Amino acid sequence: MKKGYFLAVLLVLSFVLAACTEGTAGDSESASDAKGEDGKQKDSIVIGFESDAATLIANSDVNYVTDAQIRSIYDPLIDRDGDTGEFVPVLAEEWENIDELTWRLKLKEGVKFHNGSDFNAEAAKFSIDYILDDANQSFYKSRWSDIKEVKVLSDYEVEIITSKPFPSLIERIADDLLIMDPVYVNDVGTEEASKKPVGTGPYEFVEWSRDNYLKLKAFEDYWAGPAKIKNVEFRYIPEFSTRLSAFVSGEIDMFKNVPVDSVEKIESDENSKIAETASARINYLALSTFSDGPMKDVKVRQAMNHAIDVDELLEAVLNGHGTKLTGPLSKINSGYTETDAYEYDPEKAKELLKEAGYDPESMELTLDTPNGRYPMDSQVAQAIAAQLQRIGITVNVQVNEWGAHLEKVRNREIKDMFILGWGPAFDAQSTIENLFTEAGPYSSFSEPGLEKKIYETNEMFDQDERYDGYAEIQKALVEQAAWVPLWQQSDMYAVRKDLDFKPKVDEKILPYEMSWEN
Amino acid sequence: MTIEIPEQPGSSRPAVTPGKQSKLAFLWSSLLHSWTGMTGFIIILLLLFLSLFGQWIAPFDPMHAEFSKKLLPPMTDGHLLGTDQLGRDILSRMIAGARISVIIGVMTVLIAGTFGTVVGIVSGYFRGWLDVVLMRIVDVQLSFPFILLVLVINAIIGTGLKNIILSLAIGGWVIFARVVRSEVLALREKEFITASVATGVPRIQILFKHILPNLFTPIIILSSLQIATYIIAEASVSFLGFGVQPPNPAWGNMLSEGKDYIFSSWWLITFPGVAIMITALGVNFFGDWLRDTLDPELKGE
Repeated sequence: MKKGYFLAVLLVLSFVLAACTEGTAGDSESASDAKGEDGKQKDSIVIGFESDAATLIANSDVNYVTDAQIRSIYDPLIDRDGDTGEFVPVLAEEWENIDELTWRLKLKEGVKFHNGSDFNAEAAKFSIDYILDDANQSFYKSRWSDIKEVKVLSDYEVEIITSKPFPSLIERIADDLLIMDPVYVNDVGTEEASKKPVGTGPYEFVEWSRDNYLKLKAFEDYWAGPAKIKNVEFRYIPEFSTRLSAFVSGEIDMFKNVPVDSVEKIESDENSKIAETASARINYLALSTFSDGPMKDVKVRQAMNHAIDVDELLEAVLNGHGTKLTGPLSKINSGYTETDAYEYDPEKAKELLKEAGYDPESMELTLDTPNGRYPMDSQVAQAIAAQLQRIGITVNVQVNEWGAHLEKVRNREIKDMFILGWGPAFDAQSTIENLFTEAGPYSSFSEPGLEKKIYETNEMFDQDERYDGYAEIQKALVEQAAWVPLWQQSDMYAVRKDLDFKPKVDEKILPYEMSWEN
Repeated sequence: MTIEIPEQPGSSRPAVTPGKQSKLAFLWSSLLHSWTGMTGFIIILLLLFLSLFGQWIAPFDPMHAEFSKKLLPPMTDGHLLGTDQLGRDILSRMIAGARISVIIGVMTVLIAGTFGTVVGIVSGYFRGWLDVVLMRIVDVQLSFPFILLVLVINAIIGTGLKNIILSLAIGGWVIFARVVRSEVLALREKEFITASVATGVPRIQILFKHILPNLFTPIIILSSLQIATYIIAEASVSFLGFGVQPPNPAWGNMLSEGKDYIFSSWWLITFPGVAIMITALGVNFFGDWLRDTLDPELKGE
């Protein structure tokens, strides 16, 4: 028995000790001091991420986590403005459209890779060819398959030839393409290059410990001038509450995707703030017409739109953090057209269901949702279930792990409804063709007449015609009640108060543009 | 040949000796003398009571979401334990969760126990190649961590109440098979069995009349301990999102949904967590007492 007491005392003691060390490290004041030793300016930052980058080689993985990290190592040819989403030249200085199938880009001179070699037209060609080469299994391949050839015209000029009219090429270049060094990749091989990346970006690679961290340091010869923050570490903390406590204790300086119910907690901390922006990512409730269920009937889909009160969801579940969406596209999209929203009207929903031959009281639907992928996703699903319950419909919510959820959507295994997000999206085409055609399962809606119209519009070159085409499609999609549009996601970052950081609409996190105030 | 055949196998198992009435009285007096046993007993009674009559006790509909009343702290607006992130009453959800826990624990023990016992008896009594094969299967399965196995099975057959019971049972029958087999092995060498064999009692009759009754004690002890294991396993699996699906309440998924609010609304995660702890403790207390009382031979194991 004595031994037992001794052990218990020891256990308690060790907890106390552990709490002490946590406490001292947890004092954010001292953490900041440690960074700014002897009053010198802070020159490093630790950014928390929910998962590791899949690979460090560019142009391969479409996941935002990977992209957000490697964008500090590689530069794009063209970037987007963080507020408006407009194109900004980076490594490409100018671009022009010669004819429907030909594009010409003029590149920046005097840019060097981290290993000292020069950036030139060969590097641009290599990076595009890398996506197209089946051997590299790039996830971007399908979006680029209309590229026929990339020609090097001179050291700083490339010509891109497409196999069919590809009006959204510049969008693809801006959103996907990052520039790699052909000499380096050919030298060491893609295997090695995906572990030790070399780019022209503001930061060069230091160390990568799988599932732990990625460390970068400022590239002093960066063409736009060296970064203010010299050392960057991306640290992987999968669990939200652990990430939050790491932030509160000063272990990490910022992280993305703060759940709405924790906003107050962070704002009340004197060393922290919340940075928020309406993202170019939308969340929606898809109504699957791919399976033989009630959702095949347009009246049922319209009833869903009338029965779900999006304003209430936004207010109650998301605490107002989100911007209501009424049609297929968000306002940030270049081809956006104002469409009429479905009013919340449960009585009308019931009527429509009866017209379609369904008795709401005996209807049973399934709703699949991921958990933790989008803001409050599984809570939103349960709230939608509760709203549909009000008109008598029983909804079985199925919560899936993210990978399994995506797999289910792609394999078209979802019965009635599911929650999914899409973005960052800036142009009408990528959203509409991926979401509302037979080939794109992400909203599991398609309608033959509309599908034809979509493909015709995709190939239109005249900007006005194109705009009108997509506007008509948007109106038709709303009439068809293709889905229940929810909202433009609100991106929320927990940030140290003295960090100068502006959230971007396209989810990019660039330490190069950040600085410490003091 | 004059061999004394003890009709009752009482000489080896004192537990079965007393008649029904006196046995219950004996158990009761033993229970009164053990504070852990009594605590466990009360907790189990409470749990059973809640799972049977909970729907009439619960102050609110456990599924009803009142968005305007979300995240209310305990003791506000008639919500004794507060409300969750969708404005559902936590107490009512916990009571409904108790029912699910009990159903899962009991059903799994019934299925796993029945199957495991049959395998154990066949294996232990008939021996031979069948025993070798069955026990190797048991060995292989025992080499996998229980919870991992349950998760894998769940990932294959899908989630939901029925599937979680099935997967727990598939993961759990081996313990029963193992314990029952070793009991049968010991029993079949006892004099009263050898004697029955020698006097020509049919094997089946030996099995049902002499072996099976003597297995009740270890099976009851094991079952009571396993129920706790299954309830906790269900909570773990639901916590990981493979078990009972929301909005249906289960302690595990309440815990999992509540964990993101640990800094802002502690009551979401605290109450289901405490409920799981108390239940596991209670069932273990009771199981320990039962073991000590019914089977003195196992004491100290």
